[in-house]
Amino acid sequence: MFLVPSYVRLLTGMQYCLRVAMVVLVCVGAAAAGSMRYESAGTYVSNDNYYLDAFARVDLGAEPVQALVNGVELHFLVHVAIYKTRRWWIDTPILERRLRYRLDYYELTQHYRVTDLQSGKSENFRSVAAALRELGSLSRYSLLPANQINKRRQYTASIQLELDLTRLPGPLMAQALRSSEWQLETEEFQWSLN
Amino acid sequence: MVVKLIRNLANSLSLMLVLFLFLMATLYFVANTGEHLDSFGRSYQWWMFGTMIALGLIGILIVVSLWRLVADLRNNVSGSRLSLKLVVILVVMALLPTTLVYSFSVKFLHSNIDSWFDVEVERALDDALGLSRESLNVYMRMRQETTLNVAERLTEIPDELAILVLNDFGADSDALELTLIGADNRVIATTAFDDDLSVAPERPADDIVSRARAGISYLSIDPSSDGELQVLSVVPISLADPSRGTPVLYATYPVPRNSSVLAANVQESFRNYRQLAYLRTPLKQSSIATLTLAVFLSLMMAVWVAFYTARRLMVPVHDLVEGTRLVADGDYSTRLTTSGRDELGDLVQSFNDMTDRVEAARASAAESQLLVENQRAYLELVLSRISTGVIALDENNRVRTCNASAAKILRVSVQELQSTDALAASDDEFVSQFFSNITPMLKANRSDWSVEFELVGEQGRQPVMCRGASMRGGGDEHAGQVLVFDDISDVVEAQRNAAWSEVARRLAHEIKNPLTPIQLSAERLQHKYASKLHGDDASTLKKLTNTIVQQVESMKGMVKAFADYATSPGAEFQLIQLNELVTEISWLYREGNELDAISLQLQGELPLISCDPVRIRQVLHNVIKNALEAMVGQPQQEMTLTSRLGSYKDKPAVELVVRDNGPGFPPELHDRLFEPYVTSKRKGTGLGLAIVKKIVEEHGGLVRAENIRGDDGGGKLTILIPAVEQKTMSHTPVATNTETAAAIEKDSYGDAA
Repeated sequence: MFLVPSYVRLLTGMQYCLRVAMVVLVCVGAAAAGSMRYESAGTYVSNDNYYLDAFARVDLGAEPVQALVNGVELHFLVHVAIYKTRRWWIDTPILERRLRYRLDYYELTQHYRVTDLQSGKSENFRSVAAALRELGSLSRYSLLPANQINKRRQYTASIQLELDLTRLPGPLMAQALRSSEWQLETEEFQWSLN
Repeated sequence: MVVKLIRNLANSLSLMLVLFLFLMATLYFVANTGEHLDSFGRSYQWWMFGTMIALGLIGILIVVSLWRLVADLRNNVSGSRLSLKLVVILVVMALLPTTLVYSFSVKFLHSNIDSWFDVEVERALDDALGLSRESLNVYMRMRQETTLNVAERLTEIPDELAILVLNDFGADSDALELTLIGADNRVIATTAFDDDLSVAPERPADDIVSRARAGISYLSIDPSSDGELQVLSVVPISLADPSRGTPVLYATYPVPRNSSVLAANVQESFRNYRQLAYLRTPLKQSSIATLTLAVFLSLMMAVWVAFYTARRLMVPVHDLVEGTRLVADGDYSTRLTTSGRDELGDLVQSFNDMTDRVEAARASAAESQLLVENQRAYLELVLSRISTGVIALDENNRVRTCNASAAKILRVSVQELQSTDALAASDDEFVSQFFSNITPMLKANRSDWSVEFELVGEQGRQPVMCRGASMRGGGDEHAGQVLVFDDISDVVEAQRNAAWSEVARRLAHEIKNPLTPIQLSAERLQHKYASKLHGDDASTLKKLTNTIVQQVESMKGMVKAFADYATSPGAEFQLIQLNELVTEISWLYREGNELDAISLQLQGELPLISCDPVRIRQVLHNVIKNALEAMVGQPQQEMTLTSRLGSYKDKPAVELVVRDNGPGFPPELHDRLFEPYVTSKRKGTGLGLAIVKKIVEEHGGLVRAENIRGDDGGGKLTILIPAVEQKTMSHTPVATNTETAAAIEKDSYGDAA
């Protein structure tokens, strides 16, 4: 982390302060508010390829779950990025991906469905907790070939999960954009690639 | 620059159109919210963003317009009050219907959204879902039975043969896939009956498998990735030989397509309904918020349009007001640009026509005024130069104007004469007499009159001829009088002189004729009878005839004098030094007891006079004789002849003053001293001074007589004869004493010798 340029640290610091403030606000505003947090994330090389494993603890809170049960589809976005860190210049992204997931409730069979919108595959869960566990976990996700990474340079990887409010039905989005209960996203989880 | 841009935008019609179109789009968008739930959400942020920008823009424009209006009001710019009224009216007009429509729209929106939901429909959907679920449950249990049957068959079968059993049963049942998972979690056998399935079998989740091993079967209907429903069944197999552990059978069955589709439809409908019900409140809120925004936008548009319209409408009004103000201030060159073909345009055109005419009328009025001024100045000039006095009286008989000659004749200044009341008494003698003489005419208010009278004062007599005419005003009312009067003393005197000349001529003619025969007869009488008579008779005859001859001679002299007065022989003018003549004539009288009586005081450096020396000599004879005669009987006779440079009618003149110490002129004769036949002497024709006056006036001069006041008394006669305007070149210093006079006398003697 000490290699990150000072202004990035400053920005990160500011972001941090902002988030603390937001968290405080959210805590004051609603007791049943949800939270999202990456507990672990990491990369490893296997077969000359970089893979990503990550696990986020996701708690939606009362309001989004209520919406989910009432037939509203929730969309999630996972931002994955790898930056080449440079001491005297801004970091260059060498990989930026946005993974989309959809969570919905299937009333007929009373299943929670998590659909990976990249592959179109879905999984069914009896409980919302199981579904969220699946949603938060990412295992053996192929990032990039190892030869794209220069061993002598520093790389930073980051992952972030957020609830995509813009995909909500219009009227609900108008409300969600203003409501702190709907402001769900993890902090950007960063780690050094090598 | 930014201010200018904002100002331009505030006046821009195209910007207004763009904003209006945007407003229409927003309204359309609001109208479609109910039908397109998703698309509404996608673009919601953009719409809100756009609306905010539009609102901000219009807000800025309104604030700018308002600021301008307030500034105009403060600066009292014409048309601003009308603009304010117009804006208020337009805003109120927009506000009332919009508020009405808005309130009803909100109400309808509420009821419209509420009408989507119905308890019956909800229950029906719930029931449909329940029914679907029940039927699926029945089907599911049926499939569970099938799986259990297969599992029972497998209890006795060794692993190697399990695949055969699975194939047999699988073919009989509708199973999609049958998989036998061993106690070591390996797939012992699997068989797929659907071509779509991949080679690698799908495995149930580990927890399900482990729970099945523990004796708890798993049965569920899952929606697959492609949306189809399928039954999943996981059951344990109780082997005859417990040492081999507990394998698990995993089977999937398709739900019949018909049921699957129906169930999916029910599920979809139910889901939509639930979602809609859940979103009811936010939907209402969003719709109302958007509607409110649109209404607010349209209101702001209305306000701005009000400003815009007011400004556009007020431009010609403002121009007209400014133009009128300029015209009122006297700037008639103001012309306004005509705007449009409406009534305001006509008004502007009329204004321009009016200012055209006013300017033309004003120019012609100024021209006339100039003409009048010129005429007045001309008249004033003429009046100031003529010798006739002119006085204008107003309707109250007060002097309105008078010229210099009028003041001169009345012996007052113009200022004193101005605003004198003609009918009131005046301090000044002449003015008072003048007006008292014409008062009857003024009172009679006759239109044209003429009167002749004489003003008498300390300065002497002044005959005046006055004519008057009354002036009439526009409405034929009395507007005062104009008095025109002349100093006719010269005329009167000339008339009198002419009359005397005629008398003298006739008298001389009539008397002279018999005088010579009388004289001759008397001489002959003496000559013839003197010798015949003796003693006393002879001396008596001689005395008588002598008396006749002497008296006839005397009468001849008198007649000659009359004749002289009547006829003026052709004068021969020469340039003469008056002093010389005075010295010459005075010498003739220096004899006897008159020797020392005459003293001369002659100024040396006198200008020449142009005169007939013969007649001037006669003048000198007459005045000296007159003075000497006046002093007869005085114990000490003193006569002084003084010459000096004087002035007459503002021009240089030679002045000769003759003083004597006699009794002076009798006051009763003073005014008529120079008239013929006026004398205080026992002997005398009374023509001496008349002839003097006649000759002096023939030389353009003046003679006046006065008595010397004081102890010595005596008479004083002053003669002024205009000098030839040419200075003498004598170097003799100014001498006013007798010595100088004596010196001159000596010279004269020398000349005479």
